[in-house]
Amino acid sequence: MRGSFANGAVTAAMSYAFASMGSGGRSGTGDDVSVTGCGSRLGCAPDDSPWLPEYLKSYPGTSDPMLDAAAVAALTPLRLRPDGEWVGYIQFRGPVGYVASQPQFLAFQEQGNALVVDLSVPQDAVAIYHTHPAMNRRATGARAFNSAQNSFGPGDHHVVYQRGIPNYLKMPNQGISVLEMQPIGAISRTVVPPRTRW
Amino acid sequence: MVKFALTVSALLLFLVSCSVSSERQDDVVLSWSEIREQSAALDGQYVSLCGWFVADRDVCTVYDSEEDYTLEIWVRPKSEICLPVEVFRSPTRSWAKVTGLFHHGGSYGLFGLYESAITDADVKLSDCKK
Repeated sequence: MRGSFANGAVTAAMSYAFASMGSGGRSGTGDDVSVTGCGSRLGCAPDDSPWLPEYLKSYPGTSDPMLDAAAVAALTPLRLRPDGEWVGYIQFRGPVGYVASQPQFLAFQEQGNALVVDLSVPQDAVAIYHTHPAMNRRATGARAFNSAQNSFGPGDHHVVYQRGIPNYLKMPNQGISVLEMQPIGAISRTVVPPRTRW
Repeated sequence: MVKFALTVSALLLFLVSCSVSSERQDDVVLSWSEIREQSAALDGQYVSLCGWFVADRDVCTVYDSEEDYTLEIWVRPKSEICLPVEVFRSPTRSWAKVTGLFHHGGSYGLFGLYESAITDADVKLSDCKK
């Protein structure tokens, strides 16, 4: 397995340095970038994360409130669909703070070139975010299907180990969690508690 | 006479070009070392290989080994074996013969984590390793 903490460590250090410099709302810095963490309804205030052990809190890249806020701002408006996943990434843009790319919808069994190049994550991405598919609650078998999507799967671990950057996930239960590298391996942490049983 | 020679030449040229075209060949199974060493040359060619195939959440991949793999290839099957509605019921972990169009040199698969991909793939679960 290839893995590195480099991105996460740099991100955390810089984010603390710029913690008070966040600007709000949407940024129009070009390309496909549009959402910043600060200015979201969660704001940029430090997250106390009481459920996180103290020794993990001190690890660079862990429980970064600004990074969490950027991911939540990007994921919250996304409506989960049964036929694909929303994916995107987050970069650090100096004084602007964390900036999330426009989410891209990847349909399953999609034809054409998009089938091959699903999404290229830039080398300077400090985190990725994505959703899992969710079926309409009234659909047959939706409960079992959606329940199975409420946790990180093998592919989610793969990206964390390979890139060493946090992987945010919005699940059918409307909760948002992050899988991130810790000294003891990839650990998931709840960022937004689930709102539904599914 | 000249016209006949030109016709024959054109026919021969056509036959040669057909023999090296990127047609699906299920009978020739490439080894993983061949895949590794000739990956650039194989780009755009149909290949067939035997590997450890995993279809699970956000994973549709064939590996060169069941454990401690050194090579991984993203797979886009023609079947629905990797669709979420299938893998949530029964994830697949098995040796399989995978035949399809080989891609190399880009960023493939979810989040572009894979250097190689096989698309339009036939996945036949079997003990092809033996």
